[in-house]
Amino acid sequence: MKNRIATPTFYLRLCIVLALVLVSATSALTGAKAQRTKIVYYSMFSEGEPLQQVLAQATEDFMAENPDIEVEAVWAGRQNLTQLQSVLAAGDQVDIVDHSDDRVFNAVVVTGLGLPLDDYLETNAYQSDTKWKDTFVASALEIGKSQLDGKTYLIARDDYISAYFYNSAVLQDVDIVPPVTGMSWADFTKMLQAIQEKGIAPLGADGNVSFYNNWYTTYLMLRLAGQEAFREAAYDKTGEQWRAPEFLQAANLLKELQDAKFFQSGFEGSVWPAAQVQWVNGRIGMIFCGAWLPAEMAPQMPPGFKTDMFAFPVIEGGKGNDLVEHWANTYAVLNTTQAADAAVLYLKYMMSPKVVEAIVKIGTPVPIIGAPVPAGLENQYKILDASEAIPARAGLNTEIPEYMNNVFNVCTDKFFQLQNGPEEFIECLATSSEIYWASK
Amino acid sequence: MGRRGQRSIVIPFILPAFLVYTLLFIVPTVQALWVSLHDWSGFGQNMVYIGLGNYEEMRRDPIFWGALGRTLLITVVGGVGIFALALFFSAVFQQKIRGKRFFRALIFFPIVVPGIGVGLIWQFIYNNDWGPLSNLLKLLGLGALDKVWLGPDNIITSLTIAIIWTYVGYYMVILSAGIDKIPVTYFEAAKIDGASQWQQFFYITVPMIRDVLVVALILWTIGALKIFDIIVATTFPAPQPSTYTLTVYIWAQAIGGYTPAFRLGYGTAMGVILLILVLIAYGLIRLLSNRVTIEY
Repeated sequence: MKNRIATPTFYLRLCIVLALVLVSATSALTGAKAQRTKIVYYSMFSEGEPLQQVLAQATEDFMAENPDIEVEAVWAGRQNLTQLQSVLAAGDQVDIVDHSDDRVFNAVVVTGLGLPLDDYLETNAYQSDTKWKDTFVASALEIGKSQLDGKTYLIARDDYISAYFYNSAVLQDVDIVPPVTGMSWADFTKMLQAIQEKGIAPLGADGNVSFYNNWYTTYLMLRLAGQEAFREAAYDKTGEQWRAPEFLQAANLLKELQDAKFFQSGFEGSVWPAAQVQWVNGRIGMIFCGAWLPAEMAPQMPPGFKTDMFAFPVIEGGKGNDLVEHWANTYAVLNTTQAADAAVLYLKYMMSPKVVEAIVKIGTPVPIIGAPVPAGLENQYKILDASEAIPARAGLNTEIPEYMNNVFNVCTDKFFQLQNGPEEFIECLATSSEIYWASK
Repeated sequence: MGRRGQRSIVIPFILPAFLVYTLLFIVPTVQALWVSLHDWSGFGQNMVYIGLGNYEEMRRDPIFWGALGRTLLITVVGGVGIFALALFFSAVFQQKIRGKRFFRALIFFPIVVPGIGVGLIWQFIYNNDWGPLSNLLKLLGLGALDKVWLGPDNIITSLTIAIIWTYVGYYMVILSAGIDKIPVTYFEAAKIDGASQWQQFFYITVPMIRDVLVVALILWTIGALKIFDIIVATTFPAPQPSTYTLTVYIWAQAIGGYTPAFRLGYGTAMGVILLILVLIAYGLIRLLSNRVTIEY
């Protein structure tokens, strides 16, 4: 048998073949990478949430339709903006984030990290001849606009108003059908009395949530004094503007509700979602809340439970009787993105009819013209049509969140939770505002 | 071997630990000090140097002082409750009792449950509508004693009780371990001399576990000053400023809260104050415990 010995020529050929394989493999890889654009979406949802499942499926579908774009969705949960702080500090890629408009505004727009989307809104919606901006209800576009420079940074995905949500069976029992808008304060309190006489707490509240408590003080003040006066009082460095008679009158109206014991017993220490559970169980007539309430409570609703909504009552002589809060969970594109077109295309897809229908199916309202409306929220857009939409807490949550947390909510909580009376509430607002603004 | 020779041997052994400690503690601490001198949202690199501005603001911030007061209240009142009960149970379990292991495990159990779980358990217990506490009082005809447990007047007391319940088992185990090491002969001699159970406990047990007690006190103080999860879970989803402890306020200002302000610079400044508090508390406990000398 001939002994075959490898020659130098053999090694040379082997090296050339290996080098060619290596080069072709590398170029194939880099070629594939160059063709595929990657975008990273830091989501406010955690895996398993109903809306996360819809968005995850839609993301898969988007990538199937657009094979040149890869979307990495990070299901970071409600603390996604906190994670954004460290992710950005580490220099990692993030192209899209989402959360409530006030949070995204403060995290992305105020800090100069937002990409203006006005030019993109002028282009066509996903696989449509309609301009993207024309697919949104008008007030939803307003939500996305920055007061700082008038540009649009946020795209509203699911939008909400605040209103009274009532247990339809309870109101049928007292034979009252509340009007969707324009119910007078007198009729409102009469309705509450009628419910109370049936042995049911007319109003429900989870007093441990400041954000919910301050709906009462904010709406009453907005109704009576109007938006401008309310905002001016908050920005007044002396705090004196809170002493205007309309604000005290507003506080007195809330005191009327408390004194009449319209709220459920122990509401001041009720921890969310205790009152909401009582509401679906027929022990509370109605709750003032955001329009997420029906979807949030759907798993606990007994069979046949029906709910509907009406706007906060109007007060005779008030200057802001047509105001309604309207806000949204929104997307924003970061201006550090290397793939703005791909990111916007993804957002257009996520707001396209197919995805929007899937979102509505799980009970979430969307601000898209012609989109179906979830059960129980039919009146949301009727209220919006009949009202002037304003941001949450007249925009103060977005503009001066610290003031709202540390002054307005602190004073409201003490008053709402029965520790203070109306005069003390006003005094608290005036003095705390002065202290707060002096420290800035 | 000379002192220099000893040093050259020791340094290589200390160096790895020193480097890790520097990297994981000293560097972040210095960074935190630097961040605390800035107005910074935490997003991007746009930090504005304001010197001691955050500390000056803190001095005039009533929410900060309220949070600090509640933190100290929980540390002191909670600490008294925890150590009184832990010592009591340790003394009881020194005796021959049937089912001792079961009861020990039962008291220890809460510390095994994550803080979030503990918070949710107590949220349920304190619920006035369907919670067991209110219903038990009504069942016993003591409905007049029922209160709005998580209402503004009672919430700190309610939270402190929840904290005591959670931690008493943990410190009981630490103290019991110390007690088990005391020679039995001391107790036997005391018995012969006619000492009562209480006298044995106060004159033998407590002094003999002094070192363990000091370590336990330091652990509790550090833990209590940083307490967070139980408060947030019991008051979920949005703790009110009237329930803030220092850590909850730091979280609310820097990153969290229902309407986040994103003031990472101010939050970090409060974190620096918290660190100083922990160091002061540690120093005080060591100082007080070193003054006592025991001789047998």
